[in-house]
Amino acid sequence: MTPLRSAAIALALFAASGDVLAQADQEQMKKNLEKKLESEFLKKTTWTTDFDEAKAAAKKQGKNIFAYFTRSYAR
Amino acid sequence: MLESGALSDDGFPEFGKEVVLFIHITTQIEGRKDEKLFSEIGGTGFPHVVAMNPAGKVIGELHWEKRTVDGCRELMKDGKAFTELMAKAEKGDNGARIEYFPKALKLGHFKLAEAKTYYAGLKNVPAEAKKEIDGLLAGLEMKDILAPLSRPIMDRAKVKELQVAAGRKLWEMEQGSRVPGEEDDAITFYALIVIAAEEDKNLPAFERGLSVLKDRFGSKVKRFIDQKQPVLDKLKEEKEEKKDK
Repeated sequence: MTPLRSAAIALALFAASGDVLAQADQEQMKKNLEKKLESEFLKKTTWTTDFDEAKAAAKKQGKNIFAYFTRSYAR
Repeated sequence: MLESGALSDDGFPEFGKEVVLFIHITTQIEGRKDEKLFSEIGGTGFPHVVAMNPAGKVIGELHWEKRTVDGCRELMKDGKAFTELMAKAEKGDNGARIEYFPKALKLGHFKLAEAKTYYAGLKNVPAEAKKEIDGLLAGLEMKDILAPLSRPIMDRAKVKELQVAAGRKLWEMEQGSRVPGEEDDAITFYALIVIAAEEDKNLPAFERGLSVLKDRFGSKVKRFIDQKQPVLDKLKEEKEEKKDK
């Protein structure tokens, strides 16, 4: 996903002097995850959230894995 | 948005039956299982969509312009073709090995040392393929140089120090004509050369880095160029003044 990768590079390189992350508030992070898991698109079909389970299912069903990587925290 | 677009499309559940749908969420929750999977598979920006084989190995990456249900289907088809190519390459077919190698490099299947060994074993590599592979290997070399910058660092001064150290090494690569071929990598490469050159008052490196950024990526890095051009001009003036004295 090139444009976003470029944006990430731009952020890392061109913002003042690098990428400084704020300390994660663990409780807030858990709430963010719960909220993300309630997303509408996840209700439309069956998604696996555990990597080992996804691999086991793929092996059993003779299918490949469509893997969507996202995040629940904001920058 | 992918989530409100392809992943919410009425045709997506039908596509979902053809594959195993896996969602990975990077949460920043400490100690969570597979929290670092995104970076482990070579992800650099969200959202990131890949095809994986049942062993969890990446066999394809979704391109931004193909973020539709058809694009997702095409990704899986390409992944299958890549798997077949990989099998052929593993059997030792030199043509398949040459075709497989740059694709595998892009998908992050090789570390630098392994890649160099594999490359050395290829015979009769056509010039065009060689150019692509050389660029990808330079990208891999750069990745190793940037490794210290890939983890979160709280101290801005430390970040700058690491950027400068990386930029100096990348300038050495540039002088050895080892330049990453991928656009994003090349932008990072030259931007870090400029950052290090500014710190070191290295005029040739500064000029070279900024000139490539302007000529090849102008509008994409306009803010950076606008910020650095006056610094370069000032550096040049200072050098001229020194000469006059």
